[in-house]
Amino acid sequence: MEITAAALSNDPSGELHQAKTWEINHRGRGCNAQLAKKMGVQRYILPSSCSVYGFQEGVLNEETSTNPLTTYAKANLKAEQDVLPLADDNFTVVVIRQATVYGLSHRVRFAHCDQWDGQRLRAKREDPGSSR
Amino acid sequence: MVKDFVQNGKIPVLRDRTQWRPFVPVEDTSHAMMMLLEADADVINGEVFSVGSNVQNVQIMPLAQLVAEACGLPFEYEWYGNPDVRSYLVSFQKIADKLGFECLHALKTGAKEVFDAIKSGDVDPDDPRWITVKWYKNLMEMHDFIKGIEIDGALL
Repeated sequence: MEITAAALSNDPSGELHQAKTWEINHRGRGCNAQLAKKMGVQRYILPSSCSVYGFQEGVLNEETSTNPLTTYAKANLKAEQDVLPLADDNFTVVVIRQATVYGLSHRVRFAHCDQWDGQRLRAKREDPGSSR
Repeated sequence: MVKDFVQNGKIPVLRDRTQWRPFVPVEDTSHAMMMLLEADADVINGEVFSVGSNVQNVQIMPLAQLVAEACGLPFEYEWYGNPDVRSYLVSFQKIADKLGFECLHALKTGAKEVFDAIKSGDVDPDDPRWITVKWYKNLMEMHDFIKGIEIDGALL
């Protein structure tokens, strides 16, 4: 079984390191899933993010069309689209879209107020990664 | 929010305060992954699950008030940023229905745990590792610095 928990994490860092975010979060994880299948792993979990929903009216669920707004969110959605078709009788694939994770851990996360402003502005600009 | 509340006595609230966000406790999202490792393949194969709790979709101002309550301190806040248009509500019904998943930890207890850890000194709020974007920047600067001064791949 495999859970690909390694990736560049969160919207602001995804905007700062766009090329690496595509490389690791999208292609790296897609590649990991393919290798896992090839090596006979039976179950694969991709941790994705509720950020793939973007901002929409109403209550969103797994059937709602996605609207990823940042590089981080777009790379998550692309990774989902790469790994889900690998599912078959011998290789179980499941995607989880996590809400914003909080709480005490060995690697606790604190928000940095400045980063949201910067990210909001950057997200408005055309994202070079979106053409991939 | 907890970090700023402890350090500055005020919780920073992003304008305009009515935006909705979904949250999930770190313990519960880990638990969801463990459940998925053991669930029947027929139920989960090829599926997407949102992981969180319907009741942990919260608006930013009530969240700030809840954090203050958790810390047991009078609520004080300060505005920051331009009005945030990013608002969304997510249903977490599918994972509840299909796997019986529910979050066992609440926002208030999560905030209290972080508050206590900072107060007791278990967590240093100024450790650069805790703010992801700053930490990545820090690592790259250190990397450049070390590359600039090392001789034959060694510092000493």
